[in-house]
Amino acid sequence: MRGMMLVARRELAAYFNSYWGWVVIAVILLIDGLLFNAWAMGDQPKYSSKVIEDFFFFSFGCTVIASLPITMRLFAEEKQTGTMVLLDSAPLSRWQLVGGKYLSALLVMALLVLSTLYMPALVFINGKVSYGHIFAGYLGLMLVASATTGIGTLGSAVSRNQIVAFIISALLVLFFVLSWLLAKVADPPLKDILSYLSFFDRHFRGFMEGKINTESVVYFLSVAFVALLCSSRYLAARRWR
Amino acid sequence: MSSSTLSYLAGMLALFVGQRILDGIDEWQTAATVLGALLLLAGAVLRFRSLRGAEDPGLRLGHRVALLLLLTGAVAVVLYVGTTERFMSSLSLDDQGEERWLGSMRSLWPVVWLLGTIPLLVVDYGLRSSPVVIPKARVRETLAHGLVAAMGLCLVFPLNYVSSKRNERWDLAYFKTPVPGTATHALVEALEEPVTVRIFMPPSSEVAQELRHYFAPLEGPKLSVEILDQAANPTLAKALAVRDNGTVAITQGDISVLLDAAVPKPEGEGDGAAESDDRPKPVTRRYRVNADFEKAKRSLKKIDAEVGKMLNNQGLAYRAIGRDDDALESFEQAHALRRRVLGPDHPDVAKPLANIATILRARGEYEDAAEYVAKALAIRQRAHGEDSVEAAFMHASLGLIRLEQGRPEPARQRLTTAILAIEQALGAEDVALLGPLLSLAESERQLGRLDDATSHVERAWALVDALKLGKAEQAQVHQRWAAVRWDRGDTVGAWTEAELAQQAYEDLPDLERDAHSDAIARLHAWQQSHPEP
Repeated sequence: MRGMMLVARRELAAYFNSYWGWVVIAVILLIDGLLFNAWAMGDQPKYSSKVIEDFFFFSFGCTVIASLPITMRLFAEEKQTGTMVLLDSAPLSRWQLVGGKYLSALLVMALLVLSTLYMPALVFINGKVSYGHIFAGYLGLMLVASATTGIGTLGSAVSRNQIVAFIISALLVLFFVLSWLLAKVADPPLKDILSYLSFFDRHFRGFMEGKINTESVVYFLSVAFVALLCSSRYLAARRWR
Repeated sequence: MSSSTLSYLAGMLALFVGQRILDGIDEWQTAATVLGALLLLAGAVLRFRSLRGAEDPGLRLGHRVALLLLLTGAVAVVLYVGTTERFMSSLSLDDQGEERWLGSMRSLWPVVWLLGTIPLLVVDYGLRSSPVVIPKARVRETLAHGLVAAMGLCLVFPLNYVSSKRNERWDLAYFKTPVPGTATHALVEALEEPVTVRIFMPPSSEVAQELRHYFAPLEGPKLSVEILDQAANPTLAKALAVRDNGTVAITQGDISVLLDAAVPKPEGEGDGAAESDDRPKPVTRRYRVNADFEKAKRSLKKIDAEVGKMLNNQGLAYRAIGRDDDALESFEQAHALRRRVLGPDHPDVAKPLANIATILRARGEYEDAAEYVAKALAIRQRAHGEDSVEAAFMHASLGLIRLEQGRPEPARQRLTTAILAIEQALGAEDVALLGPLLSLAESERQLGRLDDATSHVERAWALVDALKLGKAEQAQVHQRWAAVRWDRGDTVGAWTEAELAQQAYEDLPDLERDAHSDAIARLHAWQQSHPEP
């Protein structure tokens, strides 16, 4: 655990000592804020709960997109700059290494997600919103962030440079987000599997509407777990090359 | 990837396609299955050849491990065969045994398959990256990595399966999604025979998930729920007359008789077997909900109205068999549901009110009955107009209640209003006039206006004659004639009419005679209280 925290602290410092982490957070918050003003609030009267639903709808997209630039550098940058060998020779297990890097990226994502809290808070001024709805939505966003950060970590682990890591992660995330579309054209039993894999349609929609489903919690955590497992195994196997 | 592993994966793909996608197309399924088995065999042979050709001890160990893993994958296929229908029928297990066997095999084969395939891919990758020499330690380590990854996946799949089957949901939204109420729970508990709710929806449908969450608290020994894709279950869909996705079929009873009938018979075998099948047929009600969320919302609102109609009909059925308490409960439920769904001023809200009044009148609770009819009258007057025929029927009901209360004057006023409105709306020769005319004749008789009473009865008889109405209506007119003639002093004529009424009632079929038991009882009472001349 100590080794993992050490790596996480080092990575967090790397995010916030450079412009990169701040730029990503600022751009995503700007997009989120514009969408909230233009889309969620809109110019038509609507229920506060609908405004919150719309807010979580595009926040889902922003969270998914934000996870890609935040995670792409985790391992790919080390390989590009030649510092991976230092990590390989460090007295750290692969789990500690992967876990530490993942944790740092997840903390950045958490900061990003929680920075949007002022938007639902604005809805309280003129409307009635359930605290539970907001809690469920943010829990959903954090779970999505944990899954996409896991996928991004895997993408970065298997790539030699950051652009390739970004593309691989984006393709994987795109598959999970759009698998409901594939489910529509596929035949059973593939249809059932693709439908279950869908990040938004099957799993996030409930959180967006203020409902917490245990199956979705388990699913997002499973995706993160499998991605991290594959990352650690890949990095361990890579040491032989 | 080595040719052996490629062959193994292609074989698995062919088996998957054969078993899951080409299911039902016998020739293609067999071809794909045979091809898959051959490719698996080819994979094993290729790996064995690599093993024989390898000189480095590490490579030999690697190929040996890879061959073992490939065979583990093949064992998974054998375990899968254990879940097929053909194999199951050869085991001749009872229902419980079959369930246990299938449960074990269905959980076991994917685990064995993953434990064979994932490490195989990893070991194969290791062997390909060191084709000449490989340390034994590396082979062992790659195997360990593969096994850890496979075990991780093995943990994830059942975990997700169980969590999707045993999903818990907390609705924290401001506008909560409806859940079954206590009445619905009580209804399910009171079922004498279990029902199965089959939701035919594509699995990606949001509606399917919403319906699943709605029915989840009701699931138990009395109600089970299945979510099915119509395209994947054509025989079952055909048996339940479900043509496409977006339908909910609620079935009570064993559907095997329907499934047998839905399976196409081989040539030369007619469908006589199905026709002569004396097994009890299940009862199925289908609701077209639609797979699209917004359309489904609109459809479900219509279902509420339909349930209201069914409750009202259930009340009428209870009333017909004399279970007035149950009938009253059904009418009250129908009224509450319609009032909630359609609003308090909707004309359909008046129907159960009028039916409740009928039961209360039969019990002699005239004031309560009159109150219900007055409510129904007000609704109908607002919805259809003061002089509408719908309002006229309520005036007639009120008239009848007043008549039975022994208040002929207010009864006469109500009945006259009703008759005028019905004449205006439906014409002077309509069957709807018969009841009010006979009641009006009775009011006039009780008021001593025998000429008016006579003219109303004569008009009623003319109506029966013109419209060629049945024995029940003839009996009612004879019965009224008897009373009027007696009051006029024509005792012989009165008794003749009473006997004609009795004869007409006796000519009725049993069921219809039961429906007129009150009138028959009144006739017998009249005959006993009026001495035969």
